[in-house]
Amino acid sequence: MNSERHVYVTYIRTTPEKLWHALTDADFTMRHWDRRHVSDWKIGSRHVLNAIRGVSRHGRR
Amino acid sequence: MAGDKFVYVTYIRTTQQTLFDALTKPEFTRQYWFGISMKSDWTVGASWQMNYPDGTVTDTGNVVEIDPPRRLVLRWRNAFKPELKAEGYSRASFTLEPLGETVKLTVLHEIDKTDSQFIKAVSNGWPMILSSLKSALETGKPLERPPS
Repeated sequence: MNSERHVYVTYIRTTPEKLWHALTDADFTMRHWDRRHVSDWKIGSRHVLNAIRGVSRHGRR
Repeated sequence: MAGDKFVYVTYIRTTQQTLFDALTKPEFTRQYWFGISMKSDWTVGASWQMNYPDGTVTDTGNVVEIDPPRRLVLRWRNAFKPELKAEGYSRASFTLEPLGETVKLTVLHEIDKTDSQFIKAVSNGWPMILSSLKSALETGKPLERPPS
């Protein structure tokens, strides 16, 4: 099979609920990702990473 | 060259010197490395060893390269699991690069052997140890060893 991948493992002192929220709540993802991660989180739904207007792709200044 | 390797990168809000000390001083390693002490006099060619609190030697080797607080390269061999010890020496390098308010830590662990059981074991171990190190330096509290 011709393919490529990246695997990363990290351990975080938190709860599964808080971590799930941090990955799926658009306001929260702005804090660590500089993007709003937007979806209604159902199977088949689109998900979009939005940089807010005036914010560079590479982070807020 | 046929071989196997593990690479891990993490960004830690700390200084190069604090991170270097955390990697090389037993009073620090014991805190986040689940009781393990890493001991050496940290000169090129010097031996090093890691012990559990009960004195069991877990791994040993020699210092290949040391450039505090930027880089450390170790010859590294497991000492207490026969199947891992049998694979011989590996090489672990630690590179510390300041980046804004963080230090980028890159750990590269490699061995001249394909499908290495040793690399498989460290691939499981390093993420836990380095996550605990990051938590310890950023919050003052390391992680507890998870149930295995």
